[in-house]
Amino acid sequence: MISGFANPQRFLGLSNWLLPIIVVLAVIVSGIGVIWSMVYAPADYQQGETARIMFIHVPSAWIAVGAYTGMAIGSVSFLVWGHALGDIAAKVMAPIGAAFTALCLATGSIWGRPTWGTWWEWDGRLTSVLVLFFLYLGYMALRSALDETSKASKAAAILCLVGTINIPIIRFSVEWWNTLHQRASIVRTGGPSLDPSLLHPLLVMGVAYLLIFAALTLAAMRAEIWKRSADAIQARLQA
Amino acid sequence: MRPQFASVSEFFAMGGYAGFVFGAWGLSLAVIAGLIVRAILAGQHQKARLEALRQEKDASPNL
Repeated sequence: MISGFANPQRFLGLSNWLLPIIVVLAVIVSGIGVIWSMVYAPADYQQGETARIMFIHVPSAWIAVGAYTGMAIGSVSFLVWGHALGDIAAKVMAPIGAAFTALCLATGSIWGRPTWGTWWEWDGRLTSVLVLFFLYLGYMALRSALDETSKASKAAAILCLVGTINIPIIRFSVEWWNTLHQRASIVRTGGPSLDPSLLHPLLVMGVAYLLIFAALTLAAMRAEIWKRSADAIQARLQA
Repeated sequence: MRPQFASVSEFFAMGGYAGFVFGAWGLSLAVIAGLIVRAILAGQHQKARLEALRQEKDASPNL
């Protein structure tokens, strides 16, 4: 199945049945996650109801970082093995990742106002995620500035890989510059410090976001494969 | 597990933070809905374009 993702035509066949399954799962898991986190999860004893913003803020942050990591993997597979699908995946994940990064920043800002007393602070975590957003924009700007050639794809892949230095910086920013954003509370040594009554709905929302991201990426990859096939025919017709 | 709100109006009040909570959730819903619409439209457009070009190619004798 994994090798099927290396060939565009086989990918179209595989994703044709995989995409509807992911969409159905995404709808079910999102429905459970939204009701659980908005109605059944308890209010935080310090933050009250504003803590319900966590259930969308944290998953959007996971997708923001995960999409960039996915782009880096796609870029490596394109640079090293010449996999066209790696290039396609990296290209289509950029605007989706940028949108989730914008959501992470916006929902964090909305949450920060009542809990921290400020919409924005030049804190290490906030600043490094803002840099991630600009990396997405830079990658998209580079791709749109160049004609679709393998050289352009290589340049974009290299830019993407240079930007991956920011991923560990985001991860450890809360320890290196411990100013305002809280430290890791889920993936940490000693296990999650978040109470299960909040952790479980958060994980469900995380899975929901992951399924939504997967569906969006598969759909966009299919569109990009059709676009490249169409572009190739158009070039021959005009020749 | 029990619902945390005694009434619908209490739910919509969100402990006095309705603007923040529903603002953040509403914004997320709007952006994700936008991404879904964009994905569907792009797929439809490129698939139709590819099919039209394939027909054009089949109709031209030189290719």
